[in-house]
Amino acid sequence: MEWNSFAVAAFGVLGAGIAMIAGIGPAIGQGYAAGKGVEAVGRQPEAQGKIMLTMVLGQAIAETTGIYALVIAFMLVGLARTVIG
Amino acid sequence: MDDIMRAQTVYFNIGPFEVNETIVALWVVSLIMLVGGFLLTRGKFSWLPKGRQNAIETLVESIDSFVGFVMGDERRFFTPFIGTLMVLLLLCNTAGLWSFGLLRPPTADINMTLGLGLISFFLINGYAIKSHGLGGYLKGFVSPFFLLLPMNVFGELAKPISLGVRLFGNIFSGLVIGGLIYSAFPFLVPIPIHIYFDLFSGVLQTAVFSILTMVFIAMAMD
Repeated sequence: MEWNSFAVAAFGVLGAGIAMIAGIGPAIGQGYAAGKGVEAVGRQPEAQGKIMLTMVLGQAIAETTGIYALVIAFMLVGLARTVIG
Repeated sequence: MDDIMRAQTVYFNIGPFEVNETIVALWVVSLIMLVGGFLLTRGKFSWLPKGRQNAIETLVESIDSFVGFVMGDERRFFTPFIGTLMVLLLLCNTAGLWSFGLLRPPTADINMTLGLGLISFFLINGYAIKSHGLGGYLKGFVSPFFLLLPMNVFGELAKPISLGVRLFGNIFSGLVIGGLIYSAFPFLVPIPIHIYFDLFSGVLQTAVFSILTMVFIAMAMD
């Protein structure tokens, strides 16, 4: 394997790993939303359905950036696999 | 570049179209939905529900009340679409589980999920035009003032992409992590992984996709 394709594959896989550092953000955001949801249910147990719906919705939106990073990582791994052949 | 984001095994070709694992799994899911729907609603329904009719009525009523809960009671006419979407997504997301690993989940293919995102996109914008008129719809893009036009356009275009990519990312990452666990510990260890990635994540992503579709449509109609 020539040097160029080796470098592309190696840095592609490395970049996929680096891209997944973005997973920190959604983790913090989702944990914060879940904690606030628990607090809200503790304060108002009768509104559990509405709180749960809003919380899951907010978490799904917060997750989007992490999922984008995941897709970028998949693309980089796919690129590396295509280059190696 | 996109080779890992879609199903690879191509069974045969129909004209220019490849029939791959996703299409075949989707055929199986559609067949289950058609046959199940036919068998479960066959015959006469009585005033006093029992057995099969009870189950069907519980399912339909819970989806109907959920749609009313999220979108408002006057928009319950979305129940047939949302209910079909929910059943389809539930069967698709858990396809690896109930087929004992024979089928690849169709939603682990970016083409399928972006297609579903496009359906939501046309519904959102169609109902926005229907309820505000074309002028009011176009005016919504320059509110609160005209400099926000590009942001509004990109925000609208990002909706189907984020819907589709979110579903794809969740299901496909479950598939990849499951495959990794299977290659490392093929015995007993993957069971909790299946419970989390297939059951929990599949049901949750079904709910998230349909709730987001409902909320976007309801927001566009307000």
